[in-house]
Amino acid sequence: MDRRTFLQQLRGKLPETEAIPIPSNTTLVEWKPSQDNPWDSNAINHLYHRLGFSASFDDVVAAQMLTPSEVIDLLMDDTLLTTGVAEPPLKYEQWMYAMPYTGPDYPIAHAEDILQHDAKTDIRNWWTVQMMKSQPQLREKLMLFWHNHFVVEEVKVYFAVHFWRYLDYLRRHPWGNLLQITKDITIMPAMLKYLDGVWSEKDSINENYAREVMELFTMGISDRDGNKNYTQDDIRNVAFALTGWRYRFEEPSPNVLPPYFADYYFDFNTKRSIFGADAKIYGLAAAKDSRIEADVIDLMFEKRGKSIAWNIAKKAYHNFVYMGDLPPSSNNLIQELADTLIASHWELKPMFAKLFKSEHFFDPIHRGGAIKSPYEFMISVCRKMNVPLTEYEAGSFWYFGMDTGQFLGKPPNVKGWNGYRDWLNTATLPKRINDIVRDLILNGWIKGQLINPHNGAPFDGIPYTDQQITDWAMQFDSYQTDLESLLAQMSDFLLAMALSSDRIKEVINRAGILHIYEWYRLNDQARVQPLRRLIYELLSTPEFQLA
Amino acid sequence: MKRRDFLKTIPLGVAATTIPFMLGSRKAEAFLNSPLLSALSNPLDNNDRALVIIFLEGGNDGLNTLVPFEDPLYDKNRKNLGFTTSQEKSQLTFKVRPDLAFNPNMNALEPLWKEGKMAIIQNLGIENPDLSHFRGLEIWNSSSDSDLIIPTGWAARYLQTLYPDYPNTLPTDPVAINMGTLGSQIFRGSASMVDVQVPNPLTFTAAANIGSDPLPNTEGGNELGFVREIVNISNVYAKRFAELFPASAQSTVQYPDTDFARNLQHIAWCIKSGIKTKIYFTNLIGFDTHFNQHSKETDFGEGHGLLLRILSQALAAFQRDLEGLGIADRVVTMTYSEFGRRVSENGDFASGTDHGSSAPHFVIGTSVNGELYGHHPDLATLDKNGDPTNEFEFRRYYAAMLGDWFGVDESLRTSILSPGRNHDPFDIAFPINGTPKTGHLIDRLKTSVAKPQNSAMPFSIAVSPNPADRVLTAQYISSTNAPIELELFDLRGRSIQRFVRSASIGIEYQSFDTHLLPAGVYYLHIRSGSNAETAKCIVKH
Repeated sequence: MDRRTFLQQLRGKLPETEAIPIPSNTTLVEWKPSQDNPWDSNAINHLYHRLGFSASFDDVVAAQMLTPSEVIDLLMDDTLLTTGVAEPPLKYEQWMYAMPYTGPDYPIAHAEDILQHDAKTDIRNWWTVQMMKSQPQLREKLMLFWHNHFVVEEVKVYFAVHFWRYLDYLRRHPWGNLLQITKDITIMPAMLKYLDGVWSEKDSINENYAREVMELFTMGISDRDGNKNYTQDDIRNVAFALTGWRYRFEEPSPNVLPPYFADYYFDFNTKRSIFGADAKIYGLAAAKDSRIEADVIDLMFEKRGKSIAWNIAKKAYHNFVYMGDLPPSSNNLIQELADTLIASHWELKPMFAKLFKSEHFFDPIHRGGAIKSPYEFMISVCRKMNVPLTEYEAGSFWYFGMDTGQFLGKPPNVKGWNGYRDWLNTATLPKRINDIVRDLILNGWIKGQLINPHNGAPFDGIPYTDQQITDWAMQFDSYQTDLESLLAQMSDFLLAMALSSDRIKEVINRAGILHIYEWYRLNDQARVQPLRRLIYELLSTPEFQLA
Repeated sequence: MKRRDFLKTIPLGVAATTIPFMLGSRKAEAFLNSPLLSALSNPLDNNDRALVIIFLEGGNDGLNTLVPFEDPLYDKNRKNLGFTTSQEKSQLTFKVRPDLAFNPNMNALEPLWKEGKMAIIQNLGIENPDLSHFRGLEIWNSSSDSDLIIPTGWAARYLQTLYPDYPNTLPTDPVAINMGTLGSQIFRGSASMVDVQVPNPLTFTAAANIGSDPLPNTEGGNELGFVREIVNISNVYAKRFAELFPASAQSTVQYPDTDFARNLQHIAWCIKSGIKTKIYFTNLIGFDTHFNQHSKETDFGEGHGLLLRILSQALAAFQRDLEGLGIADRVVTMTYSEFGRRVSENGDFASGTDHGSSAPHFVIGTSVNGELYGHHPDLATLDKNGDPTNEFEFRRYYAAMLGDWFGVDESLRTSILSPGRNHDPFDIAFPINGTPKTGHLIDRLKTSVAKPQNSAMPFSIAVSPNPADRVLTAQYISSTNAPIELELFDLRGRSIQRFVRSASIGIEYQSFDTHLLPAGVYYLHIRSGSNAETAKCIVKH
């Protein structure tokens, strides 16, 4: 008897919601669309759900003219890492160069608090707009993935410029070299501040970063077989190796200087052994100090490379394929991805490309198997309904994100957001529907939640006019002819899992549409209100929560 | 952690006996059909007691919460952060012992301590802590051994014994309510979370639009089922809350102007409304004070001191409100955190503390035996990481809540709290003030066993003498017109004697012959129609 049968016998019946691992025999070979599994709008939706924040109408049209592999190549184009990243958020000159700062006990004026806080709000709104754009969808998705991996919380980072540089780095290295990224993140001011590296010195060691870089960012507590990857002594010795890193602002000019190695905080007198390797003076090569004999991050990747590759591959697989219960066969796929990462000397691009282009990734069993995060949800509404956002208008959204569990730049803790089913509960689901869908679609207006921080004026909100809704619906060729076909086309475009014809009738009923048989006789103006109700119903379906 | 990994971690033989409470509604029901449990399961849920659980996220610094200010090792280890100068020590006015005082940021709780409504359990922790936030919290939430990974939460396992078919059958009221900003894994049940997130009872709304077509056999189908379930739960309970609120939104005190205090105020509203929710959860974030801890300052706008202030002022207001609303006897509030912090601060420069092990926690309520339990950690004998070793294993804390407060008997408690092991001692014999003494953290007799407001019991029961030697007499007041069944069970659930009496109204007596019974604990169960009541009795020769 296998474990599943055993469990089922114990349980009697499985509740409806029990996640059952769905077996899959697809592999990581490149997907070739077929008649059974065609490159249709459902597959395109899947690609953009997972590798972005939903496909806009234009994305679907454009993708149909290309192969899946070509679309992914375009999304992974390296030129995206240099162009379109540079234009900074609103009023950046107020904080980009920060102010002179002399030490942790320097009294920070309240005005400075407000400036930094507002600057980080501007960054958040700017970020939201980046996620809205079509071209850098995958870059932004991966950037969020790394923000949720190499976590910092902006409140503790404090300076907007440090938070910005951290985000800017992730945005420029979404598929870079993992070893190099780990090294760079380790001495980034945002991280030095967030996990207390700046407070660590040879006479008073702070273990915070040393622990988390091993437990969360790289190897994990144990390897695949359950053997401990490190001891408390290893944590302590890694903490010693990471001491001495500081950041500063240049005075009196406002330049933000790169982090530097202050050797008087570092213990050059004690050779220490880490992971059972030879006792040496471990430090960071970036210090460019000849007394440091070996780089501690190199040592982690050398001694615990298998665990690191496994952890990262597993996280990528979970994040982009499925977060629920997996069949045992998925372990082989994850291992294959991990091996790819090691073989490419920690370059991430081959691993990601292999996964994203694979027939396994496009296997229909995965469609709709992800739960939209709050940002995925609200941006999917905007991208699907063609509501372009300005940086200014995005100011309505960070509040919603905060209320529904995803405050950008402020994950709940150093482990990041759990995501998946944790996104949805009896508080957040009604809020998604009421605050976004109902307000935008039914009321034609997402109300501003804020006072504009720049001029103190109340923010009006985001309108969605009758003209916009008519223009949107006219993209579907059934718009002029038949309501049920129109609903089928809209559901196919909007949802990860298309609705059955019974379900479409149910939606029409719920919307209370009376003139279903005379749809073709109605003029645009008469169609607007029924359309609003129908779209509201479609976007309020449980299916629209899925990606 | 996935279910199948869990099976990998526990030997199958053990799993078979413990899984029901964690994994299977069906199996749990079958187990509940054993005489003792079925006898007790209804009465257990026939009290209207509520437990409020407060999670201090990040690992609260115990040494600067309850300060051993006379201990020279405290001064030595906490040069910067500690109350070390005579001027600082003079601020410590909330003393629970001549050499032990609460942080002055917690002075708001002093009246509750003086009235005996606050118990302090010192040196509470998990075994072999690995100092990780996440592993520590997993262990606390799942109530597992340190080397076991259990996918379900302890509170969910308890609630599933009461509501084994949740969420397929939703009870009238939520079984647990989360008013916090964090989801809590204590509510992770075998199939789904058992708590309902309520941001504000006044604005709790429905999500509508479910759909009823069959779920496809794909991962999308799995998740669609999950979303439909949430829609269903929010639709059902939004309706319920609309019946109760805003009428039940009453307060008798002014709460502090903090989110945390507002969450507690909402909890008080819910309890006052009469809903039968058993467990409430809320949290306070930010105790991971590696730097900028600021424990001492009583006017500083951030850090540990501020958090203790927010916590204490809100808890004090909450308790007073419960008393003002006349519902204090139904509520006990407890705190927990994933760990305490390192004894020595992390350096001259840092002004913070790293992850540690055990810490003190407290329980507040009119039923609480307001004592100091256990000893302050011995700062001279620390483990190799520089942390104290715990005096009380954390599960004894939970056992007190389940046993003393909710009346869960020992065998059920053990299977809820210590799956994979059934030999944990759950006696709550804490040494008090250094002198070993048997005492219950929560004294059920201190407050009358409250009856549900809306379904008055048709009878009440008393046994005498207790302990009994040759004869045990049950006195019951009956007002039903159905036959009355009286049955005596031993601890293992075996029926010893059973009588069926005809319907009556008034005071009745029934004697049981106990002179041949082995000494020990017995349960007397009285049942009439769907009503039942249980009394614990002791036979002693």
